[in-house]
Amino acid sequence: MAQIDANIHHIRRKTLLTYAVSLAILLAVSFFLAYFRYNRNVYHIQFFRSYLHNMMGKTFFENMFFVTMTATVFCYTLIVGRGDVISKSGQRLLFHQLVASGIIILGILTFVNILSSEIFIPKFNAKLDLLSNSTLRANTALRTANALYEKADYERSIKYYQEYLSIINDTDIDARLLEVKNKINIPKQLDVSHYNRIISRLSGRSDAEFIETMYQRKVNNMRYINANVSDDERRRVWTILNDIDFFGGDYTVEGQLKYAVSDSSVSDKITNYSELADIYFDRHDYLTAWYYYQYTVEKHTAESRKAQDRINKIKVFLREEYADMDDAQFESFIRETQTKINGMYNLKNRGAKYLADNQYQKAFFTFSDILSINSNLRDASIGQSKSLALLRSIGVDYNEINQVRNYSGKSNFVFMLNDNRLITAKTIIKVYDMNTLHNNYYMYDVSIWEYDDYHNVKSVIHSEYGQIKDDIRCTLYCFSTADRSLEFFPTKTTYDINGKALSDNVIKDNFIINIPVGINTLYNFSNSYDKALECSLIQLIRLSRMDKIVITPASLTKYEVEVIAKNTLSPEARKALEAVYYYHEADMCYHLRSNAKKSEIDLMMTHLTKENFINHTKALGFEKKFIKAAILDQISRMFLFIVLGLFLITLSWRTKADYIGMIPAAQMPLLVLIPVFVFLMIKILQTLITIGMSTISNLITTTNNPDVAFGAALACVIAFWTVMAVTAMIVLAYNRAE
Amino acid sequence: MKRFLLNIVKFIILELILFFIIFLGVILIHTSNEISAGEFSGSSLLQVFLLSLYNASFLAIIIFCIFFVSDVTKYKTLTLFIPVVMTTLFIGVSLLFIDRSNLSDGIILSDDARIYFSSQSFITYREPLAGTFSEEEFEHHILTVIPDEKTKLYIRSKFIYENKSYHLKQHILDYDYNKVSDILYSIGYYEDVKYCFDGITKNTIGKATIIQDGDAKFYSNLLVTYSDRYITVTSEDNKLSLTFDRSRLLDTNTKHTPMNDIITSSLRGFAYHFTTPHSIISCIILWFGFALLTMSVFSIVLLKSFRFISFVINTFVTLCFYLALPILMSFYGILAKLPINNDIFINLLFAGILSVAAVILLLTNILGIKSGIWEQD
Repeated sequence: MAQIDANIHHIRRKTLLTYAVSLAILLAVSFFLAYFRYNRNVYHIQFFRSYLHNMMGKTFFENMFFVTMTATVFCYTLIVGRGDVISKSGQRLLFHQLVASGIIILGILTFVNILSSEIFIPKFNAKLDLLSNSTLRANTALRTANALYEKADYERSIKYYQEYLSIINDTDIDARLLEVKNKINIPKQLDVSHYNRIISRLSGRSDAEFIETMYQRKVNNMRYINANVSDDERRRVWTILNDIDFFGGDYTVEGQLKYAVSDSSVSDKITNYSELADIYFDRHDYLTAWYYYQYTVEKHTAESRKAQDRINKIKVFLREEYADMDDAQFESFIRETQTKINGMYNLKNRGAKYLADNQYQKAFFTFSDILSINSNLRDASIGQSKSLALLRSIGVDYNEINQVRNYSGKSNFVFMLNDNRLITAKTIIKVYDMNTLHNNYYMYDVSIWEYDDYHNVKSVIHSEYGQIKDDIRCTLYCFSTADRSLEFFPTKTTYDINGKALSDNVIKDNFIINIPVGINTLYNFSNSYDKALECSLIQLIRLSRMDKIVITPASLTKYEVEVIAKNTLSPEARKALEAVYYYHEADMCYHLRSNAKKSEIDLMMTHLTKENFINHTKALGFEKKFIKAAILDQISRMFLFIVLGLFLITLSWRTKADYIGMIPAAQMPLLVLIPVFVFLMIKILQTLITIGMSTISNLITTTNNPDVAFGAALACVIAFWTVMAVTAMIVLAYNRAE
Repeated sequence: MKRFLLNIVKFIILELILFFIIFLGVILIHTSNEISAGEFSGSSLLQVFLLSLYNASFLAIIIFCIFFVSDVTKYKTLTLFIPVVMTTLFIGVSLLFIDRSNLSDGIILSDDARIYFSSQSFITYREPLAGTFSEEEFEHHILTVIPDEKTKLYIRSKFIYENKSYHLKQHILDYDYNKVSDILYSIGYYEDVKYCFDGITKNTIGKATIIQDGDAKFYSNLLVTYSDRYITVTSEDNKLSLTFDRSRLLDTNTKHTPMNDIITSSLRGFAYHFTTPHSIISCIILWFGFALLTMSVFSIVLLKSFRFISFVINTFVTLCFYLALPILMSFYGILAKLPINNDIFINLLFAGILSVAAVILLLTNILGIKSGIWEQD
């Protein structure tokens, strides 16, 4: 008995070693394949480590099936020989004792294989896709930035350098960015000697005069640029200075640091204007301080008197600062400043009104106007950032979407929003945002077609630009932060029953629509079976059930309720929504009331479903047959691992060599044929399975009740493979250890 | 002798089982395209029957060689001939009852819109590629537009330059054809048109959505008419008339990989090669020669020291032999062009050549065993 135990132990060790060595070789090969297949144009050098891990993992798990089967053949044809079957005392092992460890390993590896196809491989693929997408974006950004730099279009090149740096850490480009920034920033102050040197180098009289007007303010030994320099003037100053090679010569990076303005930020927590005014007063920013003191004076509070005193003091300080002005000039300067402050008040009120009216782009530019008069006004910068945040939440930035246009995307998207609405997008481009760690999807040339029950087009909503906001919502509004005249709203053309266009309307609200499937799924899914097969089983099952899912969301974000619902829902629907959800301050979310009545929830769901607020609608954008075929195919492939493994054990044992030494050396090279054979066999079997499963899927779709038929087909496929596994076991058991 | 007779019974059972499995499989594939067995046409059924019979016979010969012949000691040579004779017999008897006038190398699909269109799914129908492009068209509108060199070379390799124009090579794989088509569509040479049909019956379509160039059009109550190669979809008021190539339309519904193409085309075409001659005797002679060669090819290597390797090599060789049948049959085509008007004589000649090759292989095998290169159990 002990002798037999020793034999069993010996065989177990051999089997374990064979599988372990095979998988180790696979790991090494995966490493080398990943290493040598590395292409720095596809994956940036900074992503190398991440690429290596993911590519190695992907290659390893994708080839595990093949390697396990090859190991099985080697193990039972060569490694475990006839000598192992008979113990020293002449007893013969039973066949199950011989293959037990092999079957256990196969079982474990089957489980790992399922995990890998469900979790690991999709994860590795997603990561690799992300890395290559980011590299492509970075390379395009850098190429464009360099080209613009060569053309001396520094302002635009900055954006591309910044985009590149948001993806890649590159000190050279960092320095280049700083250099370019320096080139477009005109100095805010110059010491007199520096100033004189510039004037002496200017050839034209008019240029010298212009520079002199711009740097009029002189305090101590410094000349300051005027407070309200327009963009055109700023550009002219820059051109003049650039012509005398000011930026390339004495105006260096260090120089810029020297001229950099001091940090003007003030904590958002300070809301008292009088307090704010004091801070600016202490910082010698008299104009900003005056603005806030003026506000305090007009409010007639207890602090008004102090504020008025301070304003008077400011006037005295300004008189000292502008000592070179005569009295009349100074009087006029003070009057102008007073008018400016009043103007700023008016602008601020107008900005607030625009914000309240949801005219965020107008609000943004109004606050920008205030900031161009005085860039230190915190109110204006808060207003500006608030309007920008709101703009971003409901629309897409024109500069951003145009910049992205250079990247590659996918074209000709079409899918149904519901039975009577269809959406088309000429191009969709996916961009991974390194800051938010999310993919952004930009859409170009988007149309929504609505038609009646008789298929006549009722209306077409068209928009040049669109962007997906949080997976299933899409905005068709595009704003610009660079040019106030650029603002794109979708247009709606209504048609009569004969297809004649009746009217064109610009849609200024309700420009956010819901799409039926998550954009990530839509973007990656196509009418290609291979793509369907790449999805994990869970994803496929989700996709196949798409038209049946109606979920009452347990919670909605503040954004969803206050922005989306406001924009997309009718008043009744909004009322029904608000009746069921309550706002929870702590996590800033709307939650379903625990005491909400079923009738209330039903009413809300009816509204939300009717108005497409909830993802429930039919998805027609892809071939459903493929999904069903892919589900059956995936399940079959899981079974194939164990079934083929068991059959191979039988085949290998029956055709085994007695022991390795028996094979003549001349025949050794023929061993290479074994992996080739296994590989080919797996491919043929997988192809046959795919043909079979797509056949079943085709049959299902033609039946009256496809869902029931699919359930039956699923049961049949599982039953078939169970029978195959049992047969494989029986065939295996039929062998004898001899 | 008893064992010999038992082997005959074993072979008959094996052939029947294989025939049943393949027949069922192909019928399933066929019905999935043909909608329901009730509408199955007679000629299609014959086609499936022959396809299953020939493929089952081929597989039966191989499986018999693997599992049954090696155990036989008595009447070994005679046993080897069991599959050859039995399959020839099966085929001969079957052909007696089959009208082969309407057979083709593919499966004939009936005129039913449900085969070609699946409802509620957008399909991208692609026109068949033009076979010829003018020099200017090809070089300026295709090659210069393709961005990378590798694709350029690939496209060029699939065309032949002749008479100042480029011709698509005649015998390219479906896989390559689709790849060329993909590239031409991706560079915008052709434009994608998407169709979505709903409410499909045999001869009508309830509603259609057509998307082209960012424009969506909707039609309802369409009629479907059929010709040999094309399917035409027209609206009642004749505002819309679409013509689809049947084979291209099926391509949008199936999955294409080189492996898939090879397997399905070999499976479908296998029977056709043996049923092209006019007389039954010719067909039988042809199969006999082929079966003999198959049997000898499968036992081409006999290494006792490592039988798994023998099995692998034999399988490879037989697989190649199966896939290379069209090449083998092209020799038959050459023979058919000889100025001999006797069909049976040509087939006898061809089968004779195959048999001679088989006998040479068997003799080499025996020689191998005698000289000790091949080892026998």
